[in-house]
Amino acid sequence: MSAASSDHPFSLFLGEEIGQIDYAQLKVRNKCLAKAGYPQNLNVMLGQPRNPFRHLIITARTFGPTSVEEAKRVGFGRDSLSAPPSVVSFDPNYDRAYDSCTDDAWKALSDDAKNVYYGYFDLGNKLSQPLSRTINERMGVSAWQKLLSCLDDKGHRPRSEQEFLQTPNPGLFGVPVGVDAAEGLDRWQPKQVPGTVEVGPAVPATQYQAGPVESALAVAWFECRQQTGIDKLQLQTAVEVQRELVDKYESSFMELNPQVTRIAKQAAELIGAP
Amino acid sequence: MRVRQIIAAAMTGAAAVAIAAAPAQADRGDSKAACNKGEICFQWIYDNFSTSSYQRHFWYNDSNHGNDYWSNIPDLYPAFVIKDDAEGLWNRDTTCAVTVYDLANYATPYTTFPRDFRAAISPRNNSHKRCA
Repeated sequence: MSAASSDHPFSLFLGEEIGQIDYAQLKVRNKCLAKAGYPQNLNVMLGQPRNPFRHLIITARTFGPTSVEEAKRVGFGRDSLSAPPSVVSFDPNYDRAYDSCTDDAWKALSDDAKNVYYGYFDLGNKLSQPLSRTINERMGVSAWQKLLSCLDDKGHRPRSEQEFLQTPNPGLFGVPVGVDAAEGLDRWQPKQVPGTVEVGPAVPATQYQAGPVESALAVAWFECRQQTGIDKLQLQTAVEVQRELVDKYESSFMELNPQVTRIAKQAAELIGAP
Repeated sequence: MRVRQIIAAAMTGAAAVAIAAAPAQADRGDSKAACNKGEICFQWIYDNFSTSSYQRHFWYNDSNHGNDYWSNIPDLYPAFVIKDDAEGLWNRDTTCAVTVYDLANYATPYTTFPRDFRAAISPRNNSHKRCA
């Protein structure tokens, strides 16, 4: 458990490996579906594994922009990765093939792969759910009052101070922040013809560009975090909270990590990944 | 939970005359009562999705649960938004894990659901994203 004593305690969480397992299961399942006459999922799947718990890699960026330049460009938003299209079914034969191929793909990995995979998602969620709230509470109202006061001096006021002190969310300043450039896909409507499987639009990777109002708030937010020392305090607090959570779930890490490592290796061998 | 069940019972009677407040084009998945393959389904009172009432389904991402109503079937139950009010999630997306965020605009990741998985969740849902 040496990672628990480091400055990145959550590095003990094997997010890349769970992404590898996920990818291999998906690939085997999709090949099975293609053989059954349904190539749609195989045709649109991502070209490489993706860690579904990248948000557990805690850095200064986790808490906002880390430079004036970054604050000006992306504000509080983030660039988005591409995502595959939604594949939706109106065909009971596809549904049956999907269920059968899903089961077979798990078994192709190993008898315990499915349970370990779901168990590890559960562990990841036990880490992520309390993280932000605990850090905010641990830092205390006085820290957030300092930030609020500094932002106020620069002309930025939230719609509710009380709400801000509970959850220091830049969205409370009435500035449209972080809107995803891939918005609008929710307008897609499949034809829903019985007996068909439809593929929606893919979600492209997008570079987020903040508007001038968001940029101004983000620059003030970055400068105030630095001036008040909240940037360092938040990172220190985050390390402490991560350590506590790793300690709390130590037995789960001890039980699951060797299994995840083993199954990820089997997964890579199964699909010929490096 | 008791309060929710009483409200739910009252709303069932009112549904016939209710007028939907959500945009007509909003993503509601296939707009059928059941949570079907390919959909991302939220449930108000979690019962393992054994009943079809008080659900909201999506095909894609949504950056603001504050303007999505418990109205999976159009014009039904438009009184409450799903923001911070979902107690169950079933991810039937055929490709992606789904991350639910504590705040709107995909801020503060809270819980990530793998494919083909349903369970109770804490009602801290303001947005969700596929393959985040």
